Amino acid sequence: MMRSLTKGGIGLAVLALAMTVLAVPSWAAGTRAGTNITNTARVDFRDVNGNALFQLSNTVSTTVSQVGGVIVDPNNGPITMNPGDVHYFPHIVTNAGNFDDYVNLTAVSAGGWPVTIYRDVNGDGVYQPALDIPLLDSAGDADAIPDSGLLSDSGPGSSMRILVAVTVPAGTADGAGDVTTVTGTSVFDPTKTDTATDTINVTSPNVSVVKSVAPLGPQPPGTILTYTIVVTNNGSAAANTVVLTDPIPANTTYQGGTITYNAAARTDGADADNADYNVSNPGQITVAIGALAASGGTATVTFQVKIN
Amino acid sequence: MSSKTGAAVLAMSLGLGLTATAATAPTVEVAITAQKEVVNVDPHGKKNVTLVPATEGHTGDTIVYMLRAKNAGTGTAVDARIEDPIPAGTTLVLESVKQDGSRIEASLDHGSTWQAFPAQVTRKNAAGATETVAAPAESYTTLRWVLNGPLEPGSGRDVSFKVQIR
Repeated sequence: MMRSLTKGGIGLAVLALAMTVLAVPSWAAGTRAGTNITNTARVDFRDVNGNALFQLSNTVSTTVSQVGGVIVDPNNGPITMNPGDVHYFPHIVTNAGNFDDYVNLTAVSAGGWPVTIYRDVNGDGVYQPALDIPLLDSAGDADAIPDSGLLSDSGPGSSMRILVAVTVPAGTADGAGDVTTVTGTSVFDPTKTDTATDTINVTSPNVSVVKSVAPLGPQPPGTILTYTIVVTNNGSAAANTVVLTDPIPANTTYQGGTITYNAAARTDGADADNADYNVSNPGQITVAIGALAASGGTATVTFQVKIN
Repeated sequence: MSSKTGAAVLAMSLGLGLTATAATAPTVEVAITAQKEVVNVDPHGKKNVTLVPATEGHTGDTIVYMLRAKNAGTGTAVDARIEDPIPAGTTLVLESVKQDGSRIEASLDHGSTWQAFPAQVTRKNAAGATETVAAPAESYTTLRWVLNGPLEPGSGRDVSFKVQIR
């Protein structure tokens, strides 16, 4: 339940982000480099006889020089992910300078998680394996750092969209988190940078098994022992396809038809119920528990043996 | 003076008008310079603004335009006014508009209509009522300095303003 809610939340968040990215207007980058700002004044006057006269001034000219500028938007997250998951964070990279420029892009996870930057070719904010390609270094700047390609200083060509793929390593602990920082740097003026972050909170299942036996203590041969196995998920993500296996102890004999699952009887054979003896695994009890809800989902299995 | 005028009238009647009127006419010339403000901070943390020729600049830079109108002719000029458009790609710095014995006018429509500086605009506010507010700096297109009094030969006036490169 909790898991499905969380998953739904992520899907909505991604959609909303994609729409935000598409709605970003083109950036006004200032007067384009190379433009001449000219100024010519004029003076009008009359002589004492009322004749209108005028003169123009000299013309002064100021040439606009190039400045670099970069904007990387937006900050994403925090979103909830499970170990092994990959998420594609959409970003828009804009040349906020006043002339054509390349923007070098790097993305680094604080925790050293695997990160790949893709070019979002159709700009929809969603990763498409057949379309979106890892970001490369342009031949135009050839500095071995992946970049945006040449971006103009205004209009649709002044920005491009990327997807930053972050993978949560398998085995990452429940409750862990990470921030990936995406940095854009102007190739024309490397002092001009901007960053955006992708924040991840990790939830993972944490399943424990506790086994007890009754009666306790030394017992003579022929005694029936009842084993109770409690499987609990104390993690903050659901555990899926949980399977319990338990070998029948040496010097005991399994007592047929004694498996219970959450206090309901189960048969030993290969049939529709979720438990068997000596079918899925030779000499073992096997119970397909399935999903255990986050934060306390539990299942209890019992079976009996007789001491030989 | 009066004998000179008489000579001119005589010269004109003789068909030598060009040279003769030039000798007695006012010629108001206007010269303009463009300088860029450069702010340096000295070791004591004090800011010093110096001006360098504004041959190049970029977004955010302030250009100081200084204009000098001078009567280089021999006759008195009256009704002199200096007109200067705000250059394309720049925004007027309102508080920078300086004058020397002038009345300043502004146009928001490239000289079609004029009003006293600082200009005002009429607009509808959020409640739908008409209100008059100070014109935003970006809306200025042209400045005009109407010089007070006649400009005698050899005398001049200085005006200046600043713009910021957009």
